[in-house]
Amino acid sequence: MDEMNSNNTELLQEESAQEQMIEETVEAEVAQEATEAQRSETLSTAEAEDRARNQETYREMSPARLIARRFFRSKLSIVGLVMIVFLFLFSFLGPVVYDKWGEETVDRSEVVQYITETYTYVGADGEEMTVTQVLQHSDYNYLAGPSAEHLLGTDDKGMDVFVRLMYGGRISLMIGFIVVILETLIGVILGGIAGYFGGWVDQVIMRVVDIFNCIPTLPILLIASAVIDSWNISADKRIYLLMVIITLFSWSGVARLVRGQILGLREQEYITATEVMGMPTWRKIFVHLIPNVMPQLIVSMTLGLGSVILYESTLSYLGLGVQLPKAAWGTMIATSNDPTVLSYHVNMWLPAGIMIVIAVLGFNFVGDGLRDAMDPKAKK
Amino acid sequence: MKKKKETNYISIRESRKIIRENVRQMRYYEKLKRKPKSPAEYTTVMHDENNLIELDNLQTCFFTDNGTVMSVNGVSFDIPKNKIVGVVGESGCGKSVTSLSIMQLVQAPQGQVVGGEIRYNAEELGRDAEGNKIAYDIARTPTKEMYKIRGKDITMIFQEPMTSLNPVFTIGNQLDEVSFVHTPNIDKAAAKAHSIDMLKKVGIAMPEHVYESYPHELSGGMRQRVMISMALAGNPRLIIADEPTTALDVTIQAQILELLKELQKREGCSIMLITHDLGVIAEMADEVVVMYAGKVIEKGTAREIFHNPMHPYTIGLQKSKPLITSASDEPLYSIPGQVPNPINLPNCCYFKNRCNRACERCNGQYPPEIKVSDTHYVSCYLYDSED
Amino acid sequence: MDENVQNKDIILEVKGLKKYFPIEKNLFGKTLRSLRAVDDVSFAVARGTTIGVVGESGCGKTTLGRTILKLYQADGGTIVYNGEDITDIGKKKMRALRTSIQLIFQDPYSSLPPRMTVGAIISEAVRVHHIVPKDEIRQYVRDIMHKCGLQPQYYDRYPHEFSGGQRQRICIARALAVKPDLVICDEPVSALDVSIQAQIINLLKELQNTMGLTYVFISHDLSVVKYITDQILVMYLGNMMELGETEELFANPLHPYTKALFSAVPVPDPDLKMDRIILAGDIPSPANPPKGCKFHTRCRDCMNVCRFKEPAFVEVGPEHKVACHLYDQEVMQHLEEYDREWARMEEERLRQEAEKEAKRKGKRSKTAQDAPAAEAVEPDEALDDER
Repeated sequence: MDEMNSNNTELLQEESAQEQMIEETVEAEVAQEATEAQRSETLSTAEAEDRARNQETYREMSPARLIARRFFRSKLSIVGLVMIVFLFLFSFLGPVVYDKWGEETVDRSEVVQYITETYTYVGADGEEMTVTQVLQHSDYNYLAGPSAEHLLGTDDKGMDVFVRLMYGGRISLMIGFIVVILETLIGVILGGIAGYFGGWVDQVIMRVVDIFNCIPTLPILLIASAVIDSWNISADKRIYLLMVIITLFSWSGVARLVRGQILGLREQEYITATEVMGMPTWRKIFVHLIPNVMPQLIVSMTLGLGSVILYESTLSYLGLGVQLPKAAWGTMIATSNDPTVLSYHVNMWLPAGIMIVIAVLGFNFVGDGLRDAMDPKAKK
Repeated sequence: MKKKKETNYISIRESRKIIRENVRQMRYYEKLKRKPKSPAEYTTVMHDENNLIELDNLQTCFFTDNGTVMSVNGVSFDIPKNKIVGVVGESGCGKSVTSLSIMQLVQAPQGQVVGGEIRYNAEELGRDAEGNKIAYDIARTPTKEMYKIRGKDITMIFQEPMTSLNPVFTIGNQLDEVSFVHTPNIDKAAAKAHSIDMLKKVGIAMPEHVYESYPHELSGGMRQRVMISMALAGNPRLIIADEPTTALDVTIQAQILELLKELQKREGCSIMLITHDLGVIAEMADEVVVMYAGKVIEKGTAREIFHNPMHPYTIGLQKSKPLITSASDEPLYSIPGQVPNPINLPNCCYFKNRCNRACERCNGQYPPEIKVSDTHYVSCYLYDSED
Repeated sequence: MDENVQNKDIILEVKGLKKYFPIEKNLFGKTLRSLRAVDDVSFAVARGTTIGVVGESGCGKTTLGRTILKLYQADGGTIVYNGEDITDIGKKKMRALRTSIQLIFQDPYSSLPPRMTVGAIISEAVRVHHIVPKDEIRQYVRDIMHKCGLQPQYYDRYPHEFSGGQRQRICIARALAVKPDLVICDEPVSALDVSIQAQIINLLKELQNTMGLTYVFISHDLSVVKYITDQILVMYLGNMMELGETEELFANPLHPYTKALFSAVPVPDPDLKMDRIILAGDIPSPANPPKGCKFHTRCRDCMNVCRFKEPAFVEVGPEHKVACHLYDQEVMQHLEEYDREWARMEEERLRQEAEKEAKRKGKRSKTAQDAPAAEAVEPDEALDDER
């Protein structure tokens, strides 16, 4: 009984306590309402933003879409893009689809040509003599004109021009990409260091850049190629060497570009902010500065691709680059050194020339388009 | 997925739709502009002869990739003769676009005046048969006719005195050029004399010296004086001053404001003063137009606006600026939220999200202009007599 | 004992701070001429209070802020932070101190990296300096964002999606995330709209109260400075003009420049016509400041002594100092002497000029007689330079 009582009283106490609590909360709510009423004059920012967000009507384009839109606004950049896509499909997918002829296979299917000539001599004794001379001209199909068998004919070694065009594209594009990536890497590191640190570091690096800029490239390359010839290395290795040489002569432009950009960016307040925040130097350069140079770098890389391809073709034409039997557009054009080829076998060298034009124009158009698209100062 | 929800970008399909629509609109308005017009098509009559400019429901929009921006969305106010009209508002409220519309300098083809009238009371046009004053409707005037007005009758002073002068010519070259354009058959000596006269007018102490100098040799205040003298060269009837002192220091600002006021009195022209600084407006303007998100929300005489502000925005704007004369430690009054972006605004009061006195009616249509006194108008339901 | 308590309270003390930028260097890198951006500036700030630095463009207020931050190396004087002399502190030690002194910029557009999300911007320094354990960073940043009035869902957005006011909030959040004691605000509101300005000022004030921050508030806007600061430093061409408690300074400005500055601020009341002091002329180039008191070229109360003697910084009241001869008893008592000295100098200058003129004429006519006279002038010139 006692227990019951005590339990009851406890319960009662609990109830009353609960009631009290409820009362308290009610009071608190009333008080809150009162303060809110007081505050109603000044609306809180969050509240207003909530209201605004509920019926936010304004939306904008994402930055990537904006760049795409600006890029595709220009007809030329679309043309450039089509050219490049065609080039890639042609050189990388082409040989897989059209595998009738290999890069270095010589067409030996051609029937041996027999030229029969008959000469008649009158001997001293007045007797007539007939000599029939049969000449076996060739066992491979060289200098053939365009036909269903060889879409663009064959060259003087009997290799299919069309297929070699595709393989030449592979080499050109590969060299282009590797060289551009290499030169950008070197340029970004050296240019970044020069631009960020300034002072004597900048002086030293930029003077090296100047030296590389004022070396007459072609004579040096001629000498280098003579040296390489004497080493007697294989055509494959020659290609790698060619890449290194082109890189060596073209990184200075990228370094100069990066340095200039970083000098400008360093004045931006958000870079000062990283200084104030006490960020480590590597973080400032590689997290804050370099990513902001990327748009310009992408543009310069695209434009660089065109010029590297041109460079490679020039060197190959001069016999310094890719060597036979490897196919390269430059070496294919070089066949026009022979006046007969130049005038009677246009199919041998003109397609390669057109491919070079397409490649360089395509990369330049795309590069220009990208430059306009990524320029934040552009009005539209 | 969550990320996608939070970002606020236009989808590709919407974007394509917007772009297609923009091209159509821009083509239409450009064609309209190029169409040859007879004078009857671009002249109209003034509603009040004492006004120099009457803006009537002016609508200027920009066709951007994010949608159509109604920068100026039905703006009506008058610029009376010999008065200073102050236009005040925050960035993006359309005050500058209004002035550019008057000058026909809105950047085409993205920017177009799509509706309303800008009546310019040109003296040379005379009266029509009923004795009404004929006026140009600048919104429709062809560019060729506009050359006669722009730079001569209506001139403009820009905010940045650093960039509005050509750095490769001397001040003299640039001033003379104005004379050559507006006064045909003027010889070099006369032009120079006129230019130096102009420099004297704007209180430049050594006009001959300044005449010979290049812009970079002058300070900001001096350059702004030169800009003003350039604006005055054609004896204008209206000077549009777009934030003329924002880039200047306080003490220089005081000089320039004093000069503008004095010139306005002496030359007898009107000034349309665009600024975000209420202090400058109070000091200079006879009449004040308050703009918000492309609309005029309140207009009246300076006294009415400053002593009896009615629109919650005007009141908030005045309260949120700490005064140099008042002493208080309370938190500053601030209008919460952000200025709305003027794309696809719903047809209701644009300020209601930030307003502390918003009521049920504010969710309805955009409030009409309510007349408070002969000169004082406000667009707010709080003062609608129906209430 | 009393002094000790006071010293403990001082968080930043600047004594005779100088920062000169070289304009001309000779071949060996020795500075020939320099721009005195900050010249002999001294002040002290107590913990939890705000000092305002006021002045027009080119007065060196920004340079002062950045020199305190050690973004520039001081050329003279000392900076004592929390009782430690940090003027010549090493780079490594400074990096440890970096987090406790922060900077808020004027331009919220260029001060945020465009390619980072809001969360990354705010959390970067927290991560680098290990302010909180790694797994708490996200929550910590959200808390800071909430404190600065930013919605938590903004965490993954990019700065370009925000308006100026919100960007400035992000800047403030970034600065406060590293738990600083001293924040240098370099014109934090002057790039913002009026209604947004009030929001940011309130936010700064609220954060000061809750986090016990100390501000150095650099601004040209006197009304804002008056509202937020406890004491004010007025600068002109790199020199201190006046230093005093805010209330005292506004109630009783002493320096003629301070007076002119205060009266030049436009008041948003069309009927209140203040007795305006309009300063004549432009601010002289800081590269070529006037001799004596730097303000004397524009001063209304310019005396002869001001033209050649630099005024001392004299105490005129409790915590109120001014650099003007008018309040320097010593100078005022000997005014006549200085007048005489000025007259003498003037005479000498005129004589020299006459002689120079004569020399020039003499050179033209190539008479041998003038040669010794020219030599005789030189020592005098040297004397003048020394003065």
